[in-house]
Amino acid sequence: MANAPKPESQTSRSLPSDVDDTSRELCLRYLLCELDAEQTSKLLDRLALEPALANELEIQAQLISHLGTRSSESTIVAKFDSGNTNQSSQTSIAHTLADPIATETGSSRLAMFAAIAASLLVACAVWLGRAGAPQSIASKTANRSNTDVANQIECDQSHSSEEELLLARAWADGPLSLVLTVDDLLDHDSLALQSDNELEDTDDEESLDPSDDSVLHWMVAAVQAGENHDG
Amino acid sequence: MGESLPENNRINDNAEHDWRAVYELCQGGLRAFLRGRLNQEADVDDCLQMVFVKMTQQARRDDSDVEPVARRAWLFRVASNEAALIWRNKATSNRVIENKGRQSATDDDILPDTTDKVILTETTVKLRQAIEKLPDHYREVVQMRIDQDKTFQTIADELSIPLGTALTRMRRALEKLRQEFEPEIDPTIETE
Repeated sequence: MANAPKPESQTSRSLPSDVDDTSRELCLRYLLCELDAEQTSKLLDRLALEPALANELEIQAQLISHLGTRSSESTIVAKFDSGNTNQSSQTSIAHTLADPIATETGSSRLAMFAAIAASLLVACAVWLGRAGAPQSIASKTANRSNTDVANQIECDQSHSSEEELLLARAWADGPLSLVLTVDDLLDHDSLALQSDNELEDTDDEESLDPSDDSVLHWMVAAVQAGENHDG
Repeated sequence: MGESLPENNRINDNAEHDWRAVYELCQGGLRAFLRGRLNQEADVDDCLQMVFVKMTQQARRDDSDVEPVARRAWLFRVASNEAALIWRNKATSNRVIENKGRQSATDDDILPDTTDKVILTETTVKLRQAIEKLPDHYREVVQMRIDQDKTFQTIADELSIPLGTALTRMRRALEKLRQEFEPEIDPTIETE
């Protein structure tokens, strides 16, 4: 036992093997205030005499002191507190970093889908409002494919005509091949069949985009053109 | 504003009272520890006085950032640093000048030094990162003991393990942290 402490004892910090595991645990419990009075007394008696034990206590004190220091990086503390595994901690960080991006992307996608759905609803409403009985066929097919529309028109016995079928099939084969514009439709007598109110409503809604050559317009145009060119 | 100052003073008084209680509990241990570090009893007394002063300064800081569970360890750490400082002062054989310099540095420490706080924060962050590399059963015990301030007996009961196993896990966790982190800790000894 070294009775006289020496300054060289500072360098013995790098030799923790001088202390057995029991002594290390005693130091640990002492620093964490879990050592009873009797054990504390024994430890303190040894402490002044055994530089290695003092070194062990010092190192443990530094580690525990750092461990018990609240970090200014609250995220690190939160991560440490909430994460039981590396994976969960990293996942939480990844989620934290990705959340704003994901939220932004999700919201933009949601807005896009909402706009499409709203457009479809408006288009359907416009078309249903404008189309009377002859357009009832088309109203059933607003959300269907071109082929379905053609088949529906073909199956409707009350309004079927050869031209109608031809136009419908031509449209089904490719809407762009059917050269009809909105101006053609406006000059057409079929629009006169509609009431003034219907026409106003239609104009109001279609005036938003008069050049709209959407599928529904082509479909309406095809059906109406077929009807009015009959005979 | 008029009421906030007394409120802060009361909080500081409470914190100081708590710190003093810890100091009184471990004063004997600190003395024994310092006797193992210093040759002369007068140096031990000086060192203890400096530890007390630094503890008071720490308690009076509004942003005192030492968890209660680690206060005793903090005092030993400061005592170790002060003992090292005394040896360094002796080595210069110009103790009066050194003491004056140290005294002025101590006066400056009343306000938190930004550099020290940055170093401390970095060290703490690195240490916590090192904790994440520990095996799960080690990290679990460290977390329960340090962060949740549970006793080893409570930890042993909750994990259904013997008390000795809980202690061993904590000790081995500290050993692993020491192996990985000791180069980072050593430079801070002189900064305190």
